[in-house]
Amino acid sequence: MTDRSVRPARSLARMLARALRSDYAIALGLSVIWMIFLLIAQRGTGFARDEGFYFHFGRLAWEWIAELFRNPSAALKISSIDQHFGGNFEHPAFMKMLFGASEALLHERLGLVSISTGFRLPGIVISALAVGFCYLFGTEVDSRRAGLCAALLYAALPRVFFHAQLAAFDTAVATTGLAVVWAYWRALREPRLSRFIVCGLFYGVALATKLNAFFLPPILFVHWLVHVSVGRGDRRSFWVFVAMAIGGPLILIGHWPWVWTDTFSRLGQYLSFHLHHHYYNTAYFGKNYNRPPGPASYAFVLTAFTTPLVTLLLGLAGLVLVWRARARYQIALLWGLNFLVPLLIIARPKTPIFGGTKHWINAMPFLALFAGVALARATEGLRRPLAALVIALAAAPGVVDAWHAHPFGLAQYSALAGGVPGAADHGMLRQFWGYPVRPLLPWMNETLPVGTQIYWHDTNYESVATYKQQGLLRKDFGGDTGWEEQGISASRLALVIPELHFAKIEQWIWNSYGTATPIRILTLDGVPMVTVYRRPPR
Amino acid sequence: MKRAFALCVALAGLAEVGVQTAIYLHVPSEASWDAAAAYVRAQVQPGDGIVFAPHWVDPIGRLHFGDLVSVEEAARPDRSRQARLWEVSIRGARYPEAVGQVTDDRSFGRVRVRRIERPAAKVLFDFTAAMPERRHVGEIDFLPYLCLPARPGETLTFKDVPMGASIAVGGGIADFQSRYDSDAPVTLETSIDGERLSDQSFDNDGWRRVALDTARFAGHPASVQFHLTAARPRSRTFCFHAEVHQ
Repeated sequence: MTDRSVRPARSLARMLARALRSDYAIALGLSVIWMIFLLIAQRGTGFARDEGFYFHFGRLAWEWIAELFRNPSAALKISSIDQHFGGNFEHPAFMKMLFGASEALLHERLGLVSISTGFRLPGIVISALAVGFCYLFGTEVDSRRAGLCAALLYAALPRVFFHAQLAAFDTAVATTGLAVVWAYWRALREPRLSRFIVCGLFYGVALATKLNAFFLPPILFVHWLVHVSVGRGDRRSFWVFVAMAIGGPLILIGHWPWVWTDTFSRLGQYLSFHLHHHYYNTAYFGKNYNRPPGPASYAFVLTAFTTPLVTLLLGLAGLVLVWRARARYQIALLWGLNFLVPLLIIARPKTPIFGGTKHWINAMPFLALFAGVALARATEGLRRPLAALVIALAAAPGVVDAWHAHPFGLAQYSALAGGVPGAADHGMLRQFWGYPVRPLLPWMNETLPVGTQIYWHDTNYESVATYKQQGLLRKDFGGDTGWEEQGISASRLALVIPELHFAKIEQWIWNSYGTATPIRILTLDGVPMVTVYRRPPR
Repeated sequence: MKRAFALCVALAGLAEVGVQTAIYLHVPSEASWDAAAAYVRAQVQPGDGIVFAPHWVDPIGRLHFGDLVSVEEAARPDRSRQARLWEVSIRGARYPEAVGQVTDDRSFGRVRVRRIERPAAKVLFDFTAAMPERRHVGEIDFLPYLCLPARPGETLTFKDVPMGASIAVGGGIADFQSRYDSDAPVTLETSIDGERLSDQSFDNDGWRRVALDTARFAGHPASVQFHLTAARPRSRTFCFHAEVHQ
């Protein structure tokens, strides 16, 4: 009797142990660990400009979903769809729906998290999955150690660590894009229906995440041509493209109510928005760019200046190692193209370059994969503690920089650039999005008189409103005093978030306040992040 | 071979962390800035200039030096009148105009203070200061200049100006958006007692200085006119400063 009851329990325990040791479980575990770090870190990170918009449009998307369940016929009216989705058609609805649903469920209904964490959680979860996919891809191509190293090196990229905290799309599409490439590669290895379908579904999700996914099929097709011609691969794997051609549009259009009417015209508007994107300002080697031609070197130099040097060198070594390994050149080509093409797109003179590293951050998992293979090779044959030490030292520069730059992650520059002060000397982009004001809020709450009118500069209204809603900022402070000189004239306290093209803002403040003396400056390594002026009493 | 590779990786990681740590530790402390400010405050004389280098550290300098750096000083368009300049710098940077004899040079932690002495111009008349209601700080080439804004077609007239050997004029197109919107040059015509002395062209290339020879008018007051023209006046937000030098 006793034996019989113990046997199933033992068997279950063995199964559980096997499952926990499986690569999928390890991948999930790694993702969860990184997700926890991101969740903790984001509590100190200010609300980026675009996040303010996505908070708003996330709420609208959720309102529409709720309406769909309450009153489907009303929700499905064009006017309702346009009201909820028409204000922001530059990105598909997928992430915004998740932002809104997460906030509504986890904050409003359950009270488990703050408003901002509610909005940010879906982006964090999806971004964190990239660590798992790095592990899986590295493991399947090379070894568990390579996968583990790739996952670690990706998680330790300081700019990735910053963007992954936000309610935004960039590191999310890095994940969904990586998932597509991984699924494509698996479909090539074993061309069967289930793998085609998985790739098609992943591609649909990637397309629904952000437009970077449009560039994946051409990249993969070039790779496939080499695979079937030079590599004599199985031509049946072409079905993976058919799956993507079906899954992509199906999910993109299917999930996005705004394109359910006038589908082609509206998809055209969506694409046109990006093809004719406004050129915002960005600084590069002391020059302000806000019109084409942009500098071709931009993405390459910024990658070199923001990625830990050890990771870059390991990435190069990994490329050589993978390329030279027998029958691995196809992987080198696949990873290499997926790393290089996002940078080359930015290198086009007409591509707007305002977003710093985030616009090609989907290249970074592939750099991490190359670096992971190299690091695995470097530590092969070492005793486990020694190997762990070498791996930890390889990841250390990224971890140290990400930790040190927090919560000013956009200002992070690596040792190659001379750190933050070195980048300031070079006249590089220090920040954008108006997010770095958050560390000022406790001081503002403690010291400013009741009802102080504040000129918030580049911090947008929605971000300020969320700080107030979340109890991070006193509600008695005046809201946005307005734009530019009028906003400054109406204010008693003015913030300047230094960027090259914002120099005139500071000069307007001097003109209006009659003083050039700030009362407080937030710095990172001695470089100003936010400068605060107070109007002197008359 | 693999052990050498592992050793290289480990050393590279260590070295990079070492460099990062050195960067973090080389940041000047608040105490260094305060000590430098206290020293300059004790030494500074009326008419001295205070400048910071590199330019990005300017707000931090102004924070610590407080009232020593007024708006006029922070945005001074022409420092030729200043016989003594206090250059406060970090990271070995130099202020471009801080050229002359170094008569004091000391460091406060990682903040360096140099006093530079040089021959100064004697200013007989400051056109910008003469129009306090009009003057403002303009952004030209992303730097602040206290200057007189003028639109194409405008004429500014100054009567009874004491004349000297030259008029130093500096100017440029204010506001980067204007510089992006147009590249048309503007021309500043300078006339003395109705006689056209000079036409100077200014474009988007930052703040440009010229010295106009007025020796033949020296010694007596005159009427000075500045008239701005532009073939394409859109977005030409010109701003200039002028002063009469003895």
